[in-house]
Amino acid sequence: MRGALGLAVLLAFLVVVEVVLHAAHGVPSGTWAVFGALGCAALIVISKSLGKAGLQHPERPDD
Amino acid sequence: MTEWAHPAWPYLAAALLALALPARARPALLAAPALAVGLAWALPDGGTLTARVMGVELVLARADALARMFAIVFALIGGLAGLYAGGGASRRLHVAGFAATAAGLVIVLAGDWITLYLGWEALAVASFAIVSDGGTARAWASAYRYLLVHFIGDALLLGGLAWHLAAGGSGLVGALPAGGAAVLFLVAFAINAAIPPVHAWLTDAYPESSPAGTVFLSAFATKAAVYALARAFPGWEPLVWVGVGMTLYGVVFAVLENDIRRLLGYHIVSQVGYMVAGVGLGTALALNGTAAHAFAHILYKGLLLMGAGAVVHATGRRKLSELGGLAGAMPAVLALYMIGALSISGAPLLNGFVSKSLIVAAAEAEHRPAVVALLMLASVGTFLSVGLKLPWLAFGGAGAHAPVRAVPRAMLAAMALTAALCALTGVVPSLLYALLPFPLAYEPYTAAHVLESLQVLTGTALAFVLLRRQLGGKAAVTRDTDRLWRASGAWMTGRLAPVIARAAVALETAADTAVSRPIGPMPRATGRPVGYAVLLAVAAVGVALLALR
Repeated sequence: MRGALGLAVLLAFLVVVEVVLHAAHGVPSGTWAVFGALGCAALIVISKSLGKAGLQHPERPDD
Repeated sequence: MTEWAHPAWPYLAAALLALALPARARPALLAAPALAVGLAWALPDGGTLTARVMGVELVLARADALARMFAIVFALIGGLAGLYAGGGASRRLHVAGFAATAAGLVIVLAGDWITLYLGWEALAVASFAIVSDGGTARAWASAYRYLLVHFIGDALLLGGLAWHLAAGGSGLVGALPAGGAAVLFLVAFAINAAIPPVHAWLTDAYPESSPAGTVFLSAFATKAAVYALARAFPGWEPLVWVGVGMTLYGVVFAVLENDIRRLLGYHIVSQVGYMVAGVGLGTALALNGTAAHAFAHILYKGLLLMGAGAVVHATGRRKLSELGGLAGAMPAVLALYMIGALSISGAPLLNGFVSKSLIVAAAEAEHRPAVVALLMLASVGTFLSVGLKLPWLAFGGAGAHAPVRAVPRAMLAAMALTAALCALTGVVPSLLYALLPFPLAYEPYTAAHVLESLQVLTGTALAFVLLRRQLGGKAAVTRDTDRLWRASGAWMTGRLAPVIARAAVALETAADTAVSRPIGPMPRATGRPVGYAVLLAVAAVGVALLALR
């Protein structure tokens, strides 16, 4: 969990820098941080679901 | 005729010399790539090379900024892959690798469609030889499937070309008018660009070649197709969504994939999707983005496949479920691989950041928020698979899970050079932008853009750390469209082939009977003989493909 905590702190720092520099471009500050995290989670969930639905099967000797 | 030489010539000469030279002398052939890069760099704007072949005037080369950009990077990667191969690679790989590079150069510099077609055909044959360099039964089977799929594409391209010329179209490479001929061109280009569902040849064949062979393969076929699409179909709207679909298709499969080189193969599909979307957007900024991304992609993807190849060379293993703990044994490979991984993920200071930004900026400029969001989502998935999952499973953990051989110095030198180029064109984007086909006023290093990218990457890493147990390397294989072909192959061989054989015998008998009769006046040829010929050729090749198990 230390890795996750470190990344969360870094993310918060990047959002603060964005706020201080008024650098958010057309979207609220921190939007892209949330986008990255939720997008990653969504891709993992969707891919694994598709894998279970038939895109993936256990390895056989001839694979 | 102007006073300049085609950059393919040094590579052709090197391929011929590699036929004769012993292995220890072959490193000297790396002078050819250096010469080819110089020739590509010096291509004069608007210059042409022509030749009359069998009564047909061919424009062997026509130089402009777009062609020059592709030619430079093709010439560069041929040399880097040759260096990576070192003196230990097979004669076949040296000959075929240099021949494939020459064919790629012929394609991107071709001034007319006939020359482009000849290069297209030569690239398919050379790539077949490169795939088979893997040397295993699987490699040979993949090589034959590769050849047959590409021959279908070649037949379509030839048919489209014949149709286009018969209809009075220009023989010079350029935008194609709508019509049946354009459809044949489009499908041929789609096959080479690995656009789903006709993409599975790539993830089937590339992982089966030798480590250096895969580096050669990754550079040419798909990027030559992107170049052809940019010439023939710029601004064709459906390509935007086709490209966006490719970016996500590759990402989803890569998350599931267990084979390291197959995983990277899916990310070729994904990254080519950015380029195809750029062609579809069709603005000057988007086409600049497509060209820049092709240039950057060839370098960072070459670097990634060099890293994966080094792992395969050192361990003899290619599956994430069988790898792990390599960081201690291969720190240099890990460091260089990560430069490629961060580059493909769009991290600042690397070339993927400056090239991908152009395509996303072009979509923003066209007010396409859905396209922007989906391209950014694909970028998230890229970092997830290439920058986090693969290094975590292959290099992470304590102690190597397999005995590790030393990586040859030539491999490390090639990786270091390629990484240096990724960093150089990322830190000094003007070097890359100076080669672009259209004037460009774009600054990638704004506070907003850098922070946006860092937030996306850090957010992705955070979610990965929390969910990574879901991604543990499972001994599983993905089912892609190639499974469909192979299943059909069994049915075709068992059921359909005998029916076709009987029909062929009946036709032959009928033809025998017909020619034994007195010949009357010949009916005048009307309609579309070219179309039927193409249809028959494609059907024949298709049956052969499906019958191959």
